[in-house]
Amino acid sequence: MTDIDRRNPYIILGLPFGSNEEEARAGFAKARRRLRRDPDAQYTTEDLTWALHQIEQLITHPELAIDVYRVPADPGAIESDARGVFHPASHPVARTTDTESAEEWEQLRAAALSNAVRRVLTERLEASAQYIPYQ
Amino acid sequence: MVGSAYRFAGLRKRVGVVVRVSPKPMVVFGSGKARTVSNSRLGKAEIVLDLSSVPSELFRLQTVAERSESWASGLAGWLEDQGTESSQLDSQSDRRLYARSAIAAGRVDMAKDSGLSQEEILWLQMHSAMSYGDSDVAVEKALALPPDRFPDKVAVLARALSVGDYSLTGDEADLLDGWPSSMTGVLALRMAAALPIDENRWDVVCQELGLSPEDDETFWLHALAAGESSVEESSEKAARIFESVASGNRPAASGQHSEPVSLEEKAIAARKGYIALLAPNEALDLWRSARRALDDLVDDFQVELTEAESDLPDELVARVNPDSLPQHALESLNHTWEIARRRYERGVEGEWGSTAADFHYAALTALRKGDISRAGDLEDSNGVLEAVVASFEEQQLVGKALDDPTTWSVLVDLIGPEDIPGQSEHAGPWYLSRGIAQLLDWDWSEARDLARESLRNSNDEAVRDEALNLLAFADYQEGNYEPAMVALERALEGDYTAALQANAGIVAEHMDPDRAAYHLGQLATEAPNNDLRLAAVRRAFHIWTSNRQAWEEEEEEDGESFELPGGLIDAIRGLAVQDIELEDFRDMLRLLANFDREWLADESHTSASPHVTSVERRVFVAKASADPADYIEAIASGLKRNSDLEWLAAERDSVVNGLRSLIFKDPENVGPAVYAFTAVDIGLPMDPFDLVVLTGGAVISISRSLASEEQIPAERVVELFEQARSSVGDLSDDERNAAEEIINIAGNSLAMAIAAGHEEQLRQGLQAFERLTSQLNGIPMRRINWTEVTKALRPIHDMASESISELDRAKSYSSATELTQAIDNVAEGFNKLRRYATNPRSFFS
Repeated sequence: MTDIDRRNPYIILGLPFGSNEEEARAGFAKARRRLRRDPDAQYTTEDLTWALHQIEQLITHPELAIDVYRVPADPGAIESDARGVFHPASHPVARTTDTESAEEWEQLRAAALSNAVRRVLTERLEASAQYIPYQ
Repeated sequence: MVGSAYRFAGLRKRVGVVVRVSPKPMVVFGSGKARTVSNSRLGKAEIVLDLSSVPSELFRLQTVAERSESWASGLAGWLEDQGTESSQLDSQSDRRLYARSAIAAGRVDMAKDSGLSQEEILWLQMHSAMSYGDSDVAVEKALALPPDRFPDKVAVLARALSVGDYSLTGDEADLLDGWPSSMTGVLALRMAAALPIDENRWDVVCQELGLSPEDDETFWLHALAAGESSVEESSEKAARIFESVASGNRPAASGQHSEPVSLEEKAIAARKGYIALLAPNEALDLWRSARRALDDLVDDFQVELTEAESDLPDELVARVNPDSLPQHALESLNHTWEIARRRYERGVEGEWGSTAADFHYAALTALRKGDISRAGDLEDSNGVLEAVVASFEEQQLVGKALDDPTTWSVLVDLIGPEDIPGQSEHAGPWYLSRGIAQLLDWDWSEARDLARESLRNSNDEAVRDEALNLLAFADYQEGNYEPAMVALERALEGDYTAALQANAGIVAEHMDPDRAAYHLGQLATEAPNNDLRLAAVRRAFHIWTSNRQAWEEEEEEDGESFELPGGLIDAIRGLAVQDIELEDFRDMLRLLANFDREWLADESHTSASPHVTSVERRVFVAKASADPADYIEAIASGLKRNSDLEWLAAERDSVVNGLRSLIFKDPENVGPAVYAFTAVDIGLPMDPFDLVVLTGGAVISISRSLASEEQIPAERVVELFEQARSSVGDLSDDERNAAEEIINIAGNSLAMAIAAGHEEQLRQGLQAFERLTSQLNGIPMRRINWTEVTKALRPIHDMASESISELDRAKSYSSATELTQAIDNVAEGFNKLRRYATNPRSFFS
């Protein structure tokens, strides 16, 4: 096996595994600029062209590609969706109602209690014998 | 029988209901008249409605009569027949029977004449209504009954409550207050009517509802009934139940429950501090019916939609799921905070606006870059941002900044990892993501170092696996396959990851085909979907075929036959019975037919496949069987049904070419010729040139074999040869030249076999002739009955004639002078034999 056998189109274009064609083209442009600045870089323009061709034409379903080393193998390991001050959650628009909601909550509680009792009672009745008329 | 409607046939047909069978059957007819009938007449009547399973005799009248006046008058008629006024009925049970029947017949007025009390009539009306499912009337009558009597009214009320939409007024509920608490229905009614439940009576409530005090349902009912005043909410049990209900699940962890929790219950549970998972329609219901309460929940971040719904009002979406709102809707609502947040997340450069939201996010953007000069513009509701600013000032994480999951990576980028607490849970992912960035920057060495730092700083399996994957790739890129594989195999310990398995297969391919096949076999067995499994099998097979030559050399050395690795075979077997595309199924069966013949030959192994009736299955199972003729027949059958199957044509071509190659490579081996002959004989559809060549080759091989054994070829061989020979003229010029040469050789071979076989037959004929004529030695010629001798020699004569004819035909196949001469010599021998058999006397003279 040679170095050519180990070429990875995504790595060559500086992209995580599974990047799409548009990202590949952007990666290609960026990598070419780098080659112009650094002619001694380990990849050549030919490599970049090969990599772009691979992603655009050959790897139509990255999820099924098993001859391309996957980096990252599990994107979830590095992608944190934790929310905090620097990655804030979306803002609900300000409420238009007042905050005097005690009455509504009491109505909800009564309805919830009624619903819960009815649910339990219905299940008990269904579980027991059906209604039998007087004999 | 009693209660069933009958049709009585006489001069005219009448319908009636049998209300009694003893002492004499009594029938109430449609006219309303009740009459006794004889048993024999009843026996001949036709049942038109069988109500015999319905309890209560007269009650059935109503069922049939649908409360018609005429049936009620029938009832009166029957009473008259009995000679009794209703009020004079003997027993209480008779009076009740009468009243029930009257009520059932819609004649409450008649029921009132029965002598029963007014309450009892109400009671009967309540039950009657319940029997018909008329809950409104049932509840009305139940509530009209005295509160301290008729306890079964509670069951009726409870039932009506459970099936209807009732809520009792205070006065109505008061009616139940005098009842003992040990009545399930009463308690249920009280709770449903939101009456206060005495805290001390919960044990009774639970008992009557069939709940134990420890039940989750009990806890939930108690919590709802107690309202704000109440249950222990900080326990683990409370947390579990509130969370369960808020997300739409029943309080009970187990059990068979058919009814989901209601929206109101979800809302109440969410208010305890848990996320309410609302369907869009639920959010809309709450928005319409209890908007303040919904707003309370939204303000506390306790509402999530289970799915996006485009039909909800923008105002509602902006409250419960602002992430999903399009930009134009945000602008329309002037939702400046969300607009600014999105701009911040996109990292848009440039001037910010003048709203509070703009000031905040402009300051946050600056803070992210280490600029704390605008910290005064930050909206800091919980003090975290203040701690972040302090951390910048102190060059280390302090206070609440340590708790926020997003501060670590920002500050470590600005301050540097050496000043950040080393044990932070964020360190592992941070090193990992920088390592990957280095890898994408083609710096394998730096990526490897960062991967190691990540491993040192994380105990999280996902992070560690990814760091090992990164380490392995860096080694792999430098050609260090062994350490790369060690790292990947470590990563594969624990939870299975298809991507890591695929990577292991790639690295192993550079090391050892067996190892690659093992990893790809694992992937083919354990991958989360059939497509990936199929891809793994194909890749493994590709690796195998690429290395086949090397492996075959090893095979010669150790003398073992070559086999696919067991794991790969298992994977292929598994895929062969999965719901995969027909084309994939074909590929899997083709592999099995070549490498797992015994397993595939057993038809039961693939009977579970959705493609069980396919041509593919028939062909490849036949191919795996012991007899190649089965395979050839399966191909022939498939092609005759559908000649457009390219894969099958390819199978056929492979068979034809293989047989042809074997025949011409070693004509003395008659086996391939027999199968070729089978293929031609059963009419395997094939190219005319192939047909001529295969037939010719088969004839050559079979003829040579027969010639060596001095046996005459069967007539079918000759027929097929002649068919092939006659087809030559239809071939193209090039094909004809090649075919003619083969047919010539085949003709000579066939002629030679015929000559050799007949030469032996001639020898045997002469021997038979000599044995017969030797018996005549010593007998005077005149005493021999030549007619009888000639008769005895007749079979030899006929055999000779037939042979002469066949040899004559064989001459037409021969293109070699010497062969023709040899045939002539044999034919001449038969001629002589036939002459002697015709005229034996000439043999002696």
